[in-house]
Amino acid sequence: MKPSRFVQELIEIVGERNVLWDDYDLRLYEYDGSVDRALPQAVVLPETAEQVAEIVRLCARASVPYTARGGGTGLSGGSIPVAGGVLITLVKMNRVLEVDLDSLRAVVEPGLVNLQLSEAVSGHGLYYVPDPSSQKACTIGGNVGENSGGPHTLLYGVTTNHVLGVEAVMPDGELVEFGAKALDLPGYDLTGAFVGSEGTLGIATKVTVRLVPLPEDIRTLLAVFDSVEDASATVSEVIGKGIIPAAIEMMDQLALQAVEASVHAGYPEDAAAVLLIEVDGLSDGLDEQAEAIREIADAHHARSVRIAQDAKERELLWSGRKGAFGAIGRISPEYYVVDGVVPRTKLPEVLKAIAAVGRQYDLPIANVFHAGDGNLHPLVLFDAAIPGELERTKVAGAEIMRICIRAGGVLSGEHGIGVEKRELMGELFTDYDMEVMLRLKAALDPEGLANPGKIFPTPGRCVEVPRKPLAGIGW
Amino acid sequence: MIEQLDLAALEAELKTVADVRKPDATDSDSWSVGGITPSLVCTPGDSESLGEALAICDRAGAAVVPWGGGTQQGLGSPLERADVALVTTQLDRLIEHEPGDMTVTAQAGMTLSALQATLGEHGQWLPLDPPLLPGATLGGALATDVSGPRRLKEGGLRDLVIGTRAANVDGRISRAGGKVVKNVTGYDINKLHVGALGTLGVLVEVSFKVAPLPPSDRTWYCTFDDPRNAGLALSKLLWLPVSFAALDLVNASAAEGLGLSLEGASWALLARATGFGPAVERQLSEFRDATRGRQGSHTTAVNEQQAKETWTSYLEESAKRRWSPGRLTCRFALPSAELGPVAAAIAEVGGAAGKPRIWGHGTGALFWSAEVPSEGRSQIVDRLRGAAHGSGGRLVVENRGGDRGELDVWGPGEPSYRYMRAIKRQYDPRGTLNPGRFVDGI
Ligand SMILES: Cc1cc2nc3c(=O)[nH]c(=O)nc-3n(C[C@H](O)[C@H](O)[C@H](O)COP(=O)(O)OP(=O)(O)OC[C@H]3O[C@@H](n4cnc5c(N)ncnc54)[C@H](O)[C@@H]3O)c2cc1C
Repeated sequence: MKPSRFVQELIEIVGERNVLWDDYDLRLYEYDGSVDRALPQAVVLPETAEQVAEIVRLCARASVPYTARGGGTGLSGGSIPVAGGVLITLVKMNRVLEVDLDSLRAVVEPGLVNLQLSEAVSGHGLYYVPDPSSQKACTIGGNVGENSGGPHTLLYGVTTNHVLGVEAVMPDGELVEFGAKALDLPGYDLTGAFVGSEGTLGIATKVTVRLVPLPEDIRTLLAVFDSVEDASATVSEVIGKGIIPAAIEMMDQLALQAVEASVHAGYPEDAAAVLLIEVDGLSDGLDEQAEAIREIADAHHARSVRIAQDAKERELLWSGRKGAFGAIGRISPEYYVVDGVVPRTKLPEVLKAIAAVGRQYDLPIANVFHAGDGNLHPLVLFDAAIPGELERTKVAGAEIMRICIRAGGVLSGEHGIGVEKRELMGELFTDYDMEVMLRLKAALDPEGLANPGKIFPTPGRCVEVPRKPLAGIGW
Repeated sequence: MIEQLDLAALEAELKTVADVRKPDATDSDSWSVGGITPSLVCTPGDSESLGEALAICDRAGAAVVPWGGGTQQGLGSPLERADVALVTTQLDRLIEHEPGDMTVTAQAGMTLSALQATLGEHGQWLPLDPPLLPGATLGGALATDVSGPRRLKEGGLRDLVIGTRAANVDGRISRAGGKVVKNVTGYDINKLHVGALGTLGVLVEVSFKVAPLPPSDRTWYCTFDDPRNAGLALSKLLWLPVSFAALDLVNASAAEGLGLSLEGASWALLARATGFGPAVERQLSEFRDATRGRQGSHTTAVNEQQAKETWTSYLEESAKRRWSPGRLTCRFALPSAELGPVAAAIAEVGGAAGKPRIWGHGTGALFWSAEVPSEGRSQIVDRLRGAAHGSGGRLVVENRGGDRGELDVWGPGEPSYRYMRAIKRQYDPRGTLNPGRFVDGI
């Protein structure tokens, strides 16, 4: 097979080694971490921002849609090219361009893996705060796309709080900078609007982030409960007492059992729930804070509270949490990660309602989530080999979303809407709310070629975005 | 040609949805926006009628000035036109505060001080300490993106706002974000409104994250002869795992009136620590070490009562300086390491007569304010702006001091402005909201 004219033009921009176009190669880029899939018509791996700009200009001239992709770990289908076209994979643009130790900023390329940024600056006593559990594989560009969070964002904030500037190739093909190392430049906060826009407003080619001093000391507690209500009440009271831990994570019984079967983090398998709570900062007063948390947990009938005695024990306690998704993968052929947020005080009733959904649809549901922010992650266990089970799983997921909406919450705390939840947007927002959001899209991407088919419901339910006939664009 | 506006007809139509009057001789000054006074003052009683009033103006081609407490109407370039002040002060209700969720939702016309009083009853606050005059509203605070010293630890309005409802020029109300602390559900339109000076829509409701009031709160300051040394101490302190509530650099003129004695030194670095007792004590020793190592001369602990007064008067003074007539006040947006060097470079700008007050926050916001005759202002702004740009920063003129348009408020154009214009065209195609006031003639 010979490359089409369009592919040849891509090759002219980035070189042969950086374009994939035969069917076999494309199959590898059909999916991300979610349950949806769609084939791109070409994959390009640009090495410079100028190349990204040329690719976008080429796509604009030929009216071909394009989708940015980082590590492909997204859980809502953000980097799935549902309208076909070009998948622009940024993993080769992965350098740390600048570390400004005086103003505590780093400027990085979008394909840099999240954890590598923290590793690059840890020698200076600094780190990059947002730490998605996928941080060994996800990229800063993808984090910008999804406004990613992580366990340690309760006190310190999520991606949008840590990204201060973006250089992007806009849909008109221009390379432009928003924001800077300094805060509050004149003009609209386009950086703020860009973060979390899931690649639909342009492609980030450089990201300016805040670096934060590593905490001097850390206390990690594992509190074990015989009821989810007690665990939830502990979360509320800790925060109500004015202690804002760096992280408060909850795992329920099914999650605990799965984790113990694979990681052996020392979690009790018969407990109803555990909380993993971490306070950090100056060593002064940290023990008192940990003690205060222990007392609150005790007052809410904690079966036991264990405080990690050293770094090793702390790692062990976290290994269970960080490996939880993988562990679930071992007890079930597949699982569907649902992401929703509710006001923290609604956690007990919402968790109950989610359990009822599991019973109704006859699907096991494990919960591993960021309890401090009210950010739920029910994991629905299923087997796609059983006819109808994937469909049933998706319906159960949507049901859980409705529970969140009814509790005053939203559809996503950190994974984005992508393709997965676009049809649910209308249950949270009015058509008019979405129309007003889409004015931003119309201003920046009037042709609609940047990652089409994401976030917003497609006109006419369940109708796929039409894929361009290949011949028309010279594939 | 813009069609002549039929004011009488506009007034009559607005009266069908809201309270409308003409500013009269007794109060027309207080409605002046940089010398222009809107012909009508329209005060709707609820969000829906505010939306309707906005749409009426938009259809009539009348320029609208969204109006909260009217405490910061000096910001921005001179308006091209101002026909109707659209006042939000009737929208002053608290809508929801669930202390356990640490979030709050209120109407945009509620004053910041009223909100703080309510939250205070529950041991919480909206962690924002901006230099605002009494009467400033939540919507106004958001539209002007004000912040203060404590942004260093608590974040700014872009970090604190979690949801908004806004009236659009078509008269309808749209919602973005939500009432939860973490959210990636649709575009973050909230952020577009922060600092937009009401050029995209009129906020009618806002939701924020709130924070617990800290159990202890201490303040110290150290004097310096050279602000660059103070800047070095500040950088050092930011790099330590010590999260200060505030680190502020002030010159002697700014320290005047705060009740702080600099004992002849020309600069001081103020440090504020909040949190749990032991950590706060530790911060003091870190502050001592860092300042001593950078030629700071003298560290003084301020007793708690006095510290409270110092910070209050600091903010009040800053607010006054920002707005007092005849003063030129500029805000620098800088990388934090440039605070010291830029402060040194601008200390003498404006000549001895002006005695500029200079104050800056550890976040990189730096203010320069002096009484200068109108002739010299453009050159002064140019010099200050040169210093800002030379340090990777920007400069905005906040108080034009009565100037009618010669001063370049926002500075030179930027490539990104074309996208801002495109956004403005989508949200306000007829240029109804605060025309000409924002960057690039938006
Ligand atoms: C096991 C596991 C655990 C996870 N844990 C967490 C967690 O704790 N917290 C959390 O928030 N997420 C988590 N995620 C989700 C996922 O890792 C994040 O959404 C991550 O930010 C995606 O990064 P990525 O590089 O893989 O991006 P991709 O999946 O490739 O892309 C994500 C989105 O960003 C866009 N995009 C990518 N690059 C750019 C760019 N340069 N410019 C503009 N847009 C771009 C894409 O178009 C897409 O819409 C987890 C995923 C897995 C598989």
